[in-house]
Amino acid sequence: MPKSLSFQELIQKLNHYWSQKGCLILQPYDLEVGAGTFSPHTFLRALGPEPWNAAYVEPSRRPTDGRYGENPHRTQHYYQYQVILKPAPQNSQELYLDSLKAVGIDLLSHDVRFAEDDWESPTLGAWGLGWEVWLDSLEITQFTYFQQCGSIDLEVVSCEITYGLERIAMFLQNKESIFDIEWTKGITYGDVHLQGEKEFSKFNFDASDAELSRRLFEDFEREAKRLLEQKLVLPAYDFCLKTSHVFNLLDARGAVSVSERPRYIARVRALARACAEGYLESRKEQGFPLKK
Amino acid sequence: MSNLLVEIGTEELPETALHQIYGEEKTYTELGKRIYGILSHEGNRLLPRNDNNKFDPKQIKVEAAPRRIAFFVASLFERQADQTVEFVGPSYEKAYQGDSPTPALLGFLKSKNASFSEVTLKETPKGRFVSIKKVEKGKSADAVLPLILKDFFASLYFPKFMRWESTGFRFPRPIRWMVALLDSKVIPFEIAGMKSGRITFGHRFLSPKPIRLEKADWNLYLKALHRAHVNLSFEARKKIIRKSLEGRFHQKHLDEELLKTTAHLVEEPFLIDGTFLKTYLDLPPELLASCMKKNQKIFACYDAKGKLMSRFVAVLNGKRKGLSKIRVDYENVLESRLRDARYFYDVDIKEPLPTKGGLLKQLVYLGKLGTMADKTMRLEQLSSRLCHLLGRRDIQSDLKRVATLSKIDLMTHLVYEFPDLQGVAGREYALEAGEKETVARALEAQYLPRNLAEDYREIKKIISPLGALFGLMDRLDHLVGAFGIGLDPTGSQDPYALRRACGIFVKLIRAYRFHFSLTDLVAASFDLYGGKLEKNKKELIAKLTEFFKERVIFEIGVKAGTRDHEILQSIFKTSFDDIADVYERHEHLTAFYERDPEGFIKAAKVVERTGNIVRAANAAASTEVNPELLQETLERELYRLLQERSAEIQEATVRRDYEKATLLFGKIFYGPLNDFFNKVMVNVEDAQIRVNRQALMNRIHHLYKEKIADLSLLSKLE
Repeated sequence: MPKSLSFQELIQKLNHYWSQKGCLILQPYDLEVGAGTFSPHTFLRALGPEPWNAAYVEPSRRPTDGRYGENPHRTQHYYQYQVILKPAPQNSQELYLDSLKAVGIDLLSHDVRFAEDDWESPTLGAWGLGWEVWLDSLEITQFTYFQQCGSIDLEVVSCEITYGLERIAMFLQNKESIFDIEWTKGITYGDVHLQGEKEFSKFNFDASDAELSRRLFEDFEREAKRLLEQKLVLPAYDFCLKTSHVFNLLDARGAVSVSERPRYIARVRALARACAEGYLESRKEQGFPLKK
Repeated sequence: MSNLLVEIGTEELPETALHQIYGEEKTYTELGKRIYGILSHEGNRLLPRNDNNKFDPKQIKVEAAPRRIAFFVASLFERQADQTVEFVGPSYEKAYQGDSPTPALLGFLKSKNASFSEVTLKETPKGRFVSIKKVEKGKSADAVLPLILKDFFASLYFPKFMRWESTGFRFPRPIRWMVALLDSKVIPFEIAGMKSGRITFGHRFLSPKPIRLEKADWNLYLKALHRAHVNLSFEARKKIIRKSLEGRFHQKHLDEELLKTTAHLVEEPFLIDGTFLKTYLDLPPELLASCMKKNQKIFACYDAKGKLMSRFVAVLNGKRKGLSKIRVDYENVLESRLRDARYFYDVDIKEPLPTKGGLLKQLVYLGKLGTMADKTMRLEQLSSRLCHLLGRRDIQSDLKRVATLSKIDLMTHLVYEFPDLQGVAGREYALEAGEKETVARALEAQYLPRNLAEDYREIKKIISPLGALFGLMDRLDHLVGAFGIGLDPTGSQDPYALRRACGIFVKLIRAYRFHFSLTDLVAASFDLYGGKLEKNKKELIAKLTEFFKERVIFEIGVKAGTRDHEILQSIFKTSFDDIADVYERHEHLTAFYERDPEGFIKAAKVVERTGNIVRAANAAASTEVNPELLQETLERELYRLLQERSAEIQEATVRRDYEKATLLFGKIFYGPLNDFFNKVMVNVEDAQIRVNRQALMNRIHHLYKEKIADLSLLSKLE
């Protein structure tokens, strides 16, 4: 049996594969996000008629998923590998399955399944239809045809493929704990991230200053609105992302009551929508430069 | 005659879409009926009609698997029948000036592309008109089918649609190929940018090569797919899974819903076994089964005694190499889920269930109706009212305890992660906290039965009396609240599941025969909302009473227009307030009617004929009979029977032996009443005697009708 891929080799293989398929290989966005979809590379580029094929790793934060580094499967920080294909090609499923082969998964020796799972992000006002992909019942990928983004019906449907990198690495390396994944020879995922998991779990659940987060939310929201008025869409979207993250922090801190929750989400969604509208407008003014 | 085979090849369809295709009927599908409707429709008539113009399921096959929807129609006409169509033009006066045609007529002929020689005259009630007849040649099947098929697929209904390409076509998942063959010829049509052809595909992994179909032959098509590892019959896939499961564990516990799901999710089922650590067996079995079912769609296994074992069965999409690795992978995934479940469970029991009650303030109940904490308080108070109505002080404190604890498990981690474990979590955590077993079981039972179609005779086996009583209160509070703020169901819309709540309410009563006044309980529930409701109390009671009646009719399953339905209506007319008593009267009367229709009709006729007199006397009929005024022997006889035999009937009525009461009533009064009507006039001149006779009739009438049923509503008594 050939040596299984290290974590970094897995990323390299995917980069290589999607690069060969004509995708831009981009870099992670430099703000805290909950998933690869939040990156402007997906959220904004999915809007309008311009084609866009891109792949990138997205470090993602979900404060409530932290388990102080004690649960081998759950962490508050993890990596997604995000591919966006716009317009969705005829053979998007086949392209995806070939990428699994490229990282060393023999499709004939495993039970690979497209199991219905419609995706929705209430904070982004985004949703799509598709599947979670099962590899012997392990959910390794979210595969979605975007229908709406920023509460706007999409003119051109994108196919979004989100790989759970840790899950795939654990599977390939036959590891039972995320922290045992070999990042590269001699260094594990735990060596890189275990201390962070412990400290950030404490921070997210116990130590973060809820009052500060509340204030930040208000300030970030106000700033996003102010920037939108000046048609600075990309900076405004940054502040929208920041509101989303501090909301997640408040949520993890248990500082959001049941009735407050939908109101916070609706506020972030309203910003996301305004950013989406602003972005579409500005691309239109530029004559949708990537449209051929 | 020709055959038509159509296959839409898709990316993996969701279960709801597949379910939609098969519909509820077993013999043929909704899709089949639609196709039949279109192909036999007047303009497009390609299907021969059978004798009674009905859908003939044998002519159409419909099947679907995760990556395809296929249908086949046998015996299609090769062309539509010719049709003669008549076009009526201008009136004779307007069409001709003398013998020459006017511009109006010429225009008409031109618009119909007809010549002067085709014109005929038509006599109508409005006068003479010119008309022409045109024979419209029927088109050949291959000429009309492209449009029919295109429209058909564009008009299919599914619970959820998506768009994926530039034409914006909507379907549950992207279409990737289409086959359309009329005999050996391709019927060309295009949807979502795809063209139909004759190439299909087999199993995604086990047979990826294209398959060429030569002709529209259902059996050959099925065989070709079978060789390509696709079993197209849903029933056959289900059967394979069922049989393999039966060989592994006891049938009694087979999860039918999961069986359906797994059969919908694979093209060729292949079953493997796996195990998990025995240490997890101390978690509630429902939790374990739910972990298995929810995420991995795998079957829990039970031993002969119905105890959950540390094993599972998974249904793969076809047999693969490397089965032992697949099994280990499935086990690892399950292990991580169970570890999570254990974590939630342990976190939940750190703090006993009852002490978490305060959290209910955070959970909104329904619109303006406050929180679950408010609801809990109402239920606590309603419990004492219900026990009072039932005369069951002995269970009052238990029922109140159930109310107090009833909703707290909604605030636990476990229910947050596994919503369908509501109730089960409550039961387990209540036991952990040292609550009485009966109370704990009732917490679970509030969500039972899960299925509205559950037989009422099975209810006592799964729901304790305490659980049933709490279930009544909980649902009544829901109904009163929802109706009280105008959320009544309309048509097929019932977002708050009120029909279901009410249906289960009346089913619980049918099972347990709790006797109480519905009006009193509804009124008590209304008062407990303390002004939150918008509706007036009296109106609400009237509206709910009608709603309950409908549900009782549904529960008993009587059809309108039947004798059974008439009997039930006549019972409703007498009284509806004690629903258990309604069931009892209905059972007795229908049983009696079944056994002795003549005896039954006798009783009914007494009620009817005395009723006629009472009605004719308007509201004035008194019940005071003055024996002195009774002149005729026959009326004195009736009075004597009333005096001497009423007690017997009343006594049977009190014992709720309605069958006996009806039998006696008919037997005692039918003959003498008949003689009386034959010989004696009721409506005589003398007002005193008339009123007295009316009172006598009234007494007899009410002896039965007041407590049992107004049988005068029955039709065709002769």
